[in-house]
Amino acid sequence: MNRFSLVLSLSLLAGCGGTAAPEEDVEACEHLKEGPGVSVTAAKDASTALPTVNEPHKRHDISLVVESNGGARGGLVSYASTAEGDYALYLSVDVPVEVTDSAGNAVAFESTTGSVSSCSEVKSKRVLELGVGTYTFRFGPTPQPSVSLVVESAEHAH
Amino acid sequence: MRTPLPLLLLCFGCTLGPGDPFATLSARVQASLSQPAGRSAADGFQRLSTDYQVRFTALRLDATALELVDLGSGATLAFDPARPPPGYGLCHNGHCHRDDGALVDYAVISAEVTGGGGPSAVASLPAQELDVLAGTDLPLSCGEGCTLPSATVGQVRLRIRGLVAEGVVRDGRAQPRIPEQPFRLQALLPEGSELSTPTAIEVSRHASPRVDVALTVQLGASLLDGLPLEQLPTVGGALDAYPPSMPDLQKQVRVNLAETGLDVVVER
Repeated sequence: MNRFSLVLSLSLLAGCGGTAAPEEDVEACEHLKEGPGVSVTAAKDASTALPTVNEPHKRHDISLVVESNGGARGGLVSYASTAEGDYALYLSVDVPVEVTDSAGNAVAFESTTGSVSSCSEVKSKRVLELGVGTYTFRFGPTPQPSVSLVVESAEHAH
Repeated sequence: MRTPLPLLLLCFGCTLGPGDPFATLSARVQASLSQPAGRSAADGFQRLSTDYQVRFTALRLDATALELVDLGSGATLAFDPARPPPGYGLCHNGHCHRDDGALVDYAVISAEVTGGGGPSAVASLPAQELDVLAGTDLPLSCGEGCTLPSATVGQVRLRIRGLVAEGVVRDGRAQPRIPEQPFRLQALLPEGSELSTPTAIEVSRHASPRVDVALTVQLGASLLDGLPLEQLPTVGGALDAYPPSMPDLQKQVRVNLAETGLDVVVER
């Protein structure tokens, strides 16, 4: 291959695959794969204090509880946001998730993707905007007995 | 007229005579209330991650010294913060929690892990209590000793020994968990407590012989994030936000303090 062809090929390669994975994806993959993990059991309802998933740089392994006679599982956990901005929820299995603020208002996801390029452990990535305050994550209904969750700031996603 | 480069270099070399220090240091520390837009609530209150809201009437940080630190072998991170070495717990934002409750800088732990020379302060300037609400701007004096040896300064740190916060707290939820009331946080911090921020200051014959350091500390409502205020005891008519009987809450305050925004500006 002459020098011109080599330069052209490298340029085309850079053009095709030059976009680096978002930093938060890489970080989330690392924690989903290697932890460290924190085990919590989701609450069936909000009548008691909810288990929290606030630990930074950790994977939260959430056991889901049976919610119906049909055996469907789900449950509630709490997340306290300390800064306004975009956050990404990374899940190890694609289960339904709803997010509400402390007044019960639903928070819409800005985007939902089934995977990320950085690893195969992420089965769902959902980005949403949170303010400073406490939010409830409701998982299910799903037949899955558990789901692992990593929460990352996604401020540089846009 | 353009001055030839060799002549400029020659003149610069003349600034350091035999026995002269490598640089002279001037420093100041400023303190201000952190008020990010996302925390702003009505009536001068700021939101907490727990949905409570606070308004400060006093906020003071007792600082004992500003130090310039040569990190030595600790300049290279020698451990995985996600898996701290024995004796350390949660690692975040440049610090790990030692089992005895102290917050220890990554550089110190890295030096321990590698067995190399640890961080050492090449300059230490006495400081004093900083009134955050008043916006203290404190020039630091070091008498006749404001000189620096040859060093690679990788960190500026503020030694601290106490924190006082007072004000009013209320619940931002529709169904308040507690009534609006005063709170007080009076913390005597463990020996060796500090706030630090990375920097890169070369002190050598090849760098400017003048180093001006301005350190800014920003404290705010995040100090009280994560505290279950509804569980706090009342002392003297105010919620005690640093209760001796609740060491986990005291630890949470120290974690929050360690996350404090610290900015350093260096001019040569």
